[in-house]
Amino acid sequence: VREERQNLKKLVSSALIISLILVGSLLLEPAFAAPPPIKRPGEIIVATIEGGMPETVDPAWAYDTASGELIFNVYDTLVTFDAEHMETYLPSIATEWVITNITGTTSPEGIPWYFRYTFKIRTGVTFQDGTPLTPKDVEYSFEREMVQDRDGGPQWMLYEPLLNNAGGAAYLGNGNLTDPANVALVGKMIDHSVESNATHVWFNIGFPGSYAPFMQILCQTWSSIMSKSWIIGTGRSDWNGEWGDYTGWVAYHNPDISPLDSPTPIMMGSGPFKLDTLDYTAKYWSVVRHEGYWRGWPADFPTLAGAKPSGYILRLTVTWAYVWETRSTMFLVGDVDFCAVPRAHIGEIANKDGIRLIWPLPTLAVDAIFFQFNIDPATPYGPILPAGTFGETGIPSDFFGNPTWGIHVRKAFAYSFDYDTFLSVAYLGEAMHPSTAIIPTLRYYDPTVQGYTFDLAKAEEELKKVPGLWDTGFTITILYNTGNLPRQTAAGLLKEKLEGLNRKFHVNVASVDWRPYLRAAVARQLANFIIGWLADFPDAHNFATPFYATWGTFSAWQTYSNPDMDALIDAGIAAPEGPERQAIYTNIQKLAVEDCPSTTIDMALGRHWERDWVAGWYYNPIYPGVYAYNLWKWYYVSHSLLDASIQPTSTYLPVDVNYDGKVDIKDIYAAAKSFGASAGPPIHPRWAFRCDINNDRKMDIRDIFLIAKNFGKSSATWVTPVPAAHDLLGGVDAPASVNVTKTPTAEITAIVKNFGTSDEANVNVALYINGTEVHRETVPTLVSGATYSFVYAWSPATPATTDTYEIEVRVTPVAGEENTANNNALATTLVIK
Amino acid sequence: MTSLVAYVIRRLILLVFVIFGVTVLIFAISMLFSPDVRALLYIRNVQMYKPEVIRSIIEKYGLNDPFYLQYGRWMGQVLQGNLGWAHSSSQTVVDAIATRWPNTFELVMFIAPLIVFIGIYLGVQSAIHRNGVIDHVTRVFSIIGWSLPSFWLGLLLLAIFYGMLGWLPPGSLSHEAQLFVSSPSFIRYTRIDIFDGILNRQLWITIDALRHVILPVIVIVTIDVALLIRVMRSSMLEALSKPYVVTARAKGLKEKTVIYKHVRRNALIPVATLSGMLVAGLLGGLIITETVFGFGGLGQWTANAAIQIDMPSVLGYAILSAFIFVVANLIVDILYAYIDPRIRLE
Repeated sequence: VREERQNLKKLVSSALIISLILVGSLLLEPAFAAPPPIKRPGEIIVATIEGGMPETVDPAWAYDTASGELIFNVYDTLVTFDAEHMETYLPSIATEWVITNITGTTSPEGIPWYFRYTFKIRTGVTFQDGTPLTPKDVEYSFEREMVQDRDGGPQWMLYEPLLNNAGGAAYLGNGNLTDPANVALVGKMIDHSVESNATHVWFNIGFPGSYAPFMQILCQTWSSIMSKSWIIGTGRSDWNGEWGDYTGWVAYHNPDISPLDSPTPIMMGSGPFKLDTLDYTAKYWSVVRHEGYWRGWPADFPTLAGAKPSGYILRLTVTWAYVWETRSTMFLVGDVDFCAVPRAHIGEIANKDGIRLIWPLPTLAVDAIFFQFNIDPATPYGPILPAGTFGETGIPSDFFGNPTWGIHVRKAFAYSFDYDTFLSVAYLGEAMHPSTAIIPTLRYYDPTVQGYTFDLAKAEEELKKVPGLWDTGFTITILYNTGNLPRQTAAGLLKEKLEGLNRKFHVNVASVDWRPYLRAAVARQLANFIIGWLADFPDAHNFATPFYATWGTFSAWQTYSNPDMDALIDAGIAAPEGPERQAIYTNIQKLAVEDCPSTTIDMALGRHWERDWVAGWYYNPIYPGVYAYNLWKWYYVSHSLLDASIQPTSTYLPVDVNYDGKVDIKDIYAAAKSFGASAGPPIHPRWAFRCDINNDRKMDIRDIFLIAKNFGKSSATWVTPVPAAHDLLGGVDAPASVNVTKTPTAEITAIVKNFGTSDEANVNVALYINGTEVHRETVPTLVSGATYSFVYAWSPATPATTDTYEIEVRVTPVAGEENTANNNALATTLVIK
Repeated sequence: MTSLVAYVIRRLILLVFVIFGVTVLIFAISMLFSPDVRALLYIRNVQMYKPEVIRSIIEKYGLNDPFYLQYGRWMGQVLQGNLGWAHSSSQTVVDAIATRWPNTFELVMFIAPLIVFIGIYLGVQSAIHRNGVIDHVTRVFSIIGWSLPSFWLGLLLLAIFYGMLGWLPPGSLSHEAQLFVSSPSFIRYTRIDIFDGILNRQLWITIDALRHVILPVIVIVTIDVALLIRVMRSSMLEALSKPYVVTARAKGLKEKTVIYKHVRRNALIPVATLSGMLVAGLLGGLIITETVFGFGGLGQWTANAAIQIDMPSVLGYAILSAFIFVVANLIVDILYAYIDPRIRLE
């Protein structure tokens, strides 16, 4: 009985304990929270850093990433990068292309040509104003981009392959194109470098070689395709595409301000988005979906086992108005979808609900310590002793550049730098130490080439090879630009380690502002300088040249010159893609280590932060920012951009990699196709970002397992937007220019189209010229899908020389119409006497 | 009235000389740098750091010319309404000022009366209840207000009223309202959103704009009102100790009449001066508050222009600032005559 009682007690106790555990676990288990409502389901808002203002909207000018991000979404290029891949290309405005060797031919003005890139231009593409895109537009775009470049502008990327700096072309974008003899010749060279016929456009390469990265250059914003008629129609002081006697073009070269930026910024491309607002005061730009985009909606790339993106957005907005503290709150409450998060503040955002982090992301940026080969003895950052002379109070002018022992000093400095501490302090560990400027993100990076590591024993060994230096000692000044923490850290580390080697070694660390810092570096006043490089195009040539060529941006400042290196760099750009180029760039990397003109100290790793309701994002290091064509949010979109009332019925599961709403064998198959690939660096050709379920930047069995684990589950799907019940579209057809002497009256056509599903009554259409209403009509009935137009005979006043008129059609919104952004249409007409 | 008009005209003529003096001074400071250093201001990226490019810039912009020629060229453009290109904001200086100043004004039109009325009211109450509860509370409030960093208070209020409650977001308008006012169908009559909303019969824009000014206004008023309270209190205490107050009381005047009709009016003169300068300073921009709230006003723009050594913007701001201070002084002088009839405008 006692035993039974004891058993009963045990049973009751166990039951109590289990009950308590169960109740406790129920209490402790957080209630399942429904996903928060998606804010602004049709729009993605990007909050970037405060300095993220676009400098210009003109592709000929834009060389900063902020401008590039805007241009990238509005304009198309001939070819485009294959999503995440930097070395494979997708057709865009060009449907196909061929590269032919034309060595032996010359331009009409006698410049040798070597290769020809010929592109077949796609038919049926229209610009955002509805006009067709033709090969003539393509030819004009490239010629304009070269003509209207500016000092320090991006178009050297076209000059170098096309003109090979011949016949005065070296002066383009260098502020010195003043010799009249050169002007006509350079004009002819530009004209003949890009040609077109009714179906094709071709580029004649004046550079002796195939210039392998030319395709990459054509994928980027400086190669945007613009509408010739639109540009001329703006009436601004833009080049009209006429060459005449080949001297007039220079008046349009290197303008102080791009005509497309002043008085107001204007854009019109054939790309997926149209400029809606660029407000420098409220600090944001906003683009809206180009409904007639030739690629269609949703995006047709990137594809994965046949699956394409399944949704799209109607608007992209980028703001640079907010400091981090404000921006972070906006991100956490969901008012911002992508947010720039400074490294120092990662902890404030990491692991927060609703926020997704993708990292580490290899970048195309590298920093290095550069050694000056011929220090100016008059530098204020001295003292500098005569060449070949040592003294504890200074360094000789050839400290790093002495042909006999300078190499040992350079190597000693490279060995004295504590790379790991630098990366952990200055980058909080979010950077790599590349061996040379040919960084791991690039094709032709050779991992077998070993660079310098922190090794004070080797540093001492090298310094002792310099006759007299170890016993005499030196004093060197290392400068950094004020406020730059990584450079300050680097200078401090060098000081600590060098002074620790020998009591007679002295390092002074000082700071100046950025501009004086650069000026001193260029003027050979700095014994060494720390500076970074961000890729123009993702090719090893774009890194080898500035770092190692005699004519390179930084190496020229250093007065570093090595004929062997120059020959390799020339050979590298002339060689076709493949093993031959790989061998050349391997040799460049080896020689860079051997010669040590600089020591690379970091390649930053990036992070991408997004709200987890965003879909479709992928990473391409060369993109200037967000490319929104491939993006969408997981929800059932209604017709209204701002209508968040209809929300997804189920959560999107990232394991549904083909976006079809269910997790099945197709997802496993898609993931298996990229099995073994990694995001690098370097990126694997089969890499597919969306299959990396556990976000570890490599595709392995764990990703497949995660998909399999969710097999059979349902996921949110995308529903194509429902057309609005009420949506009117205004349009205007006005001549780009009117010569009143020849034709005193011009015809303007005002158009209204009913895009809604409902028929409309009493639709008001008004025509305004320079803000004054000149004509108004009321359409009694406009059935769904129908268009109505009227023609207005306009007799502009005769101007003194020229006048610019703004012609605007305004369609009064009807009751219930929510999307009113497309009701008005604006055109500009130039009136000439 | 005639003397007032003449006085205003005289002061406005003086304004021309003030602006001339200010611009000459700033221009002269910039000329202390050598031409090649000034040429660096036109450099946009490292690729431009080439001797030939710098030479070309010096030649193109005449940076080697004598001071009077360079100043004359700039002033010639100013007289034609062209203040130059603001590279720090990618627009003309005139546009930059014309689009930002209304935002600053929108804040100041709430801040200024609140500071003045609250400052005077609490200063008076504090003085007449000297060492009482009201006085202590007011003094503590003003010390705390004056001591608070505006960015800290701004962020705190944002965290509570936006981050937690979702009521009062940052910016000058909500995103939807911002897009709407940028559309061609919305006419920017004044560029002050509160007014433009009414003029366009879009009351929701006005309400939205009002929602966005609440927090910045609270921050500035909390901080700036403290100074006015203290000055008003001291001024009142000083006036209360004057013999005419004793006389007034001895005559049997009601205490309210003594305080509000005699003492307060006399105590207002230093407060009027301070208020004038305070408002002028506010109109010149509220750098920290505008930055914290992303308000897009003049202060934030000017600070950014100065950091980037954007000389056309700095000079443009100098002209505006000189104008604001001269006009503010003028208004204060006219107020003096109203407050104290013994003061004559001559």
